[in-house]
Amino acid sequence: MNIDFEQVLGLSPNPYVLMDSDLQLVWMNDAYLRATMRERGAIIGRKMFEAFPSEGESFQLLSSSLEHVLKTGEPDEIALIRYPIQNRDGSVDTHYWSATHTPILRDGSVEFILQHTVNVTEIEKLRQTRDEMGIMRRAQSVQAENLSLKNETKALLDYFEHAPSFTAVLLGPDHRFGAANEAYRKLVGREDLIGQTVASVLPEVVDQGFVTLLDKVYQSGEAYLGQQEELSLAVDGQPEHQKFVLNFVYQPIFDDDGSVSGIIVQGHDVSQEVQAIERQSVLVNELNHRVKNTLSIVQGLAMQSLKDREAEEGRAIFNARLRALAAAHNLLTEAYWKEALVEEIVKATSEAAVGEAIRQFDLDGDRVMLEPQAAVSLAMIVHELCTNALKYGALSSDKGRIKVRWKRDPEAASRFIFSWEEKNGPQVSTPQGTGFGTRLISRGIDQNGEESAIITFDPKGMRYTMRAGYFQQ
Amino acid sequence: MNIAGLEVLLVEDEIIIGFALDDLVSDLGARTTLVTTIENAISTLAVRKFDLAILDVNLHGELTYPLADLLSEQGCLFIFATGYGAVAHPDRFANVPTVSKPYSSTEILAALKQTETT
Repeated sequence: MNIDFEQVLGLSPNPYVLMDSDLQLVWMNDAYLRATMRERGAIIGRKMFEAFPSEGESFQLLSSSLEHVLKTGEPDEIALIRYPIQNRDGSVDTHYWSATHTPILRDGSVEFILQHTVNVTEIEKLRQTRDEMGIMRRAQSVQAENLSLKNETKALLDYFEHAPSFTAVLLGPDHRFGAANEAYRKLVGREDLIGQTVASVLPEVVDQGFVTLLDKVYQSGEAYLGQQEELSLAVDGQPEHQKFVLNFVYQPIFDDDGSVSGIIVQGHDVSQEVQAIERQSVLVNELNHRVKNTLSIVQGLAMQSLKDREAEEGRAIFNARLRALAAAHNLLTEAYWKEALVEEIVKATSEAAVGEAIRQFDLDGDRVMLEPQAAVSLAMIVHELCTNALKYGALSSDKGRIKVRWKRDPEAASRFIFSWEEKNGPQVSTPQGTGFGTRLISRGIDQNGEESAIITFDPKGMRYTMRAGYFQQ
Repeated sequence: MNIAGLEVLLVEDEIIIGFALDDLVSDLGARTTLVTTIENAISTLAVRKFDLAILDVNLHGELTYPLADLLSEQGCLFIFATGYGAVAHPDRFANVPTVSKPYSSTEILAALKQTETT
């Protein structure tokens, strides 16, 4: 079968053009001429880029595709190329093309390139329309975003509205309510705040100095922090003002130019916490009262049980020890049973034990705190040291002196050294046997240290050193 | 119950109460060792065995039940002493005799006697 392919291609509705390796147009079909709106005579024998002048991206795209085919001998496609074509009337229209370049080889090298080109301008226009639709979609999404911002703003406003701390925004120098959340409105017992001034809505706070405070914040631009401040409010129009204890802040709002335009009021009602602390203090006092009462009962029982004349000395010792214990309890109660200062323990206990002889003491030391149990132990130890000194040591003579020191231990963290040195008293000898006092003193107050306390019976005067941990907050 | 000659471990953080307990148990003829912390009790138990022990339940805010477990393992009989009123011990110690402060030698002896039967 002998087919005339030139005729076949020539009749094809698809545009075809054939160029040689110099890109000279050697043949084209009628479809191509229709598509490019050219006469055969005007372009045949001319080079592609002379027949269809182009520059920029389109030229680059087309020439690189053709060069690629010439170089490799392989077909190449241009999916979309923008290529302006001159109309018959001389005007120029932008057209979009899709092109296939097929090499026709002879002896392994490219002799011709067949370009099959399709004008896809209409399709491209459709696509552009679709993209414009895309803009619509983007617009829609911006709209959706706006909606979500709006929702977000609403959510934030909801948080503001339902925040547990009371918050209000006051605007202008006369402090007009710009916003007030639920907690704030509940606190002041009013709903109709917006647009009104603080002084007109809450006249009772004017005399309490709060408006003056607001003025000060507005004028100075400095925030004011109120801690446990009492405030009386006429809640629900009741004649009796209700008392509140509040922690709050007046925070100035600044304009872009740096001047104050308003004040944010934010805080919370700590009335209940303050009441709880007060109640606790009452409880601790009550407990202390009962403990002391119990100590008194113990004292009474002891006195009743040890009535004999022979027990008189014992009664005196017991009474003094009980008083030392009670004094230590007093110190601890003042600090809610949290801690006590060594200085206070030593001073209070010595004074109670020796009376006027306190002037024979030289007391000095660091600021060291003890936890309750250790504080009581130290008080008892100091008491025993005092009674021993009165009986046998430096306080048994007017000339005797006692130097007491308490210092943080430079060699051990959170520990301190307590020392007691007697001098100018009678000559000291090591006592026979161990009574309660010596037993207590030699034990020290350190829970773990069996050897933390050292008693030295120097003939010139008794010396005592004790190491123990102190209380750290 | 005769505790004369027995080795008794006393665990009490309040030293004055510890002294009184020490005197009380010593007067009954026992040989006593007084410790004021759980740490010291554990290190003492590591090197010595005791026939009986009296444990304060709360030492500086720390409960002595782990110590009680250690004593149980060693087969040492023990009782609890406490400054609080009625104390609910963990189930495993529900039957351990417990004396309340202030206690007397009679109460201590009675509680120690109970340990022989439980």
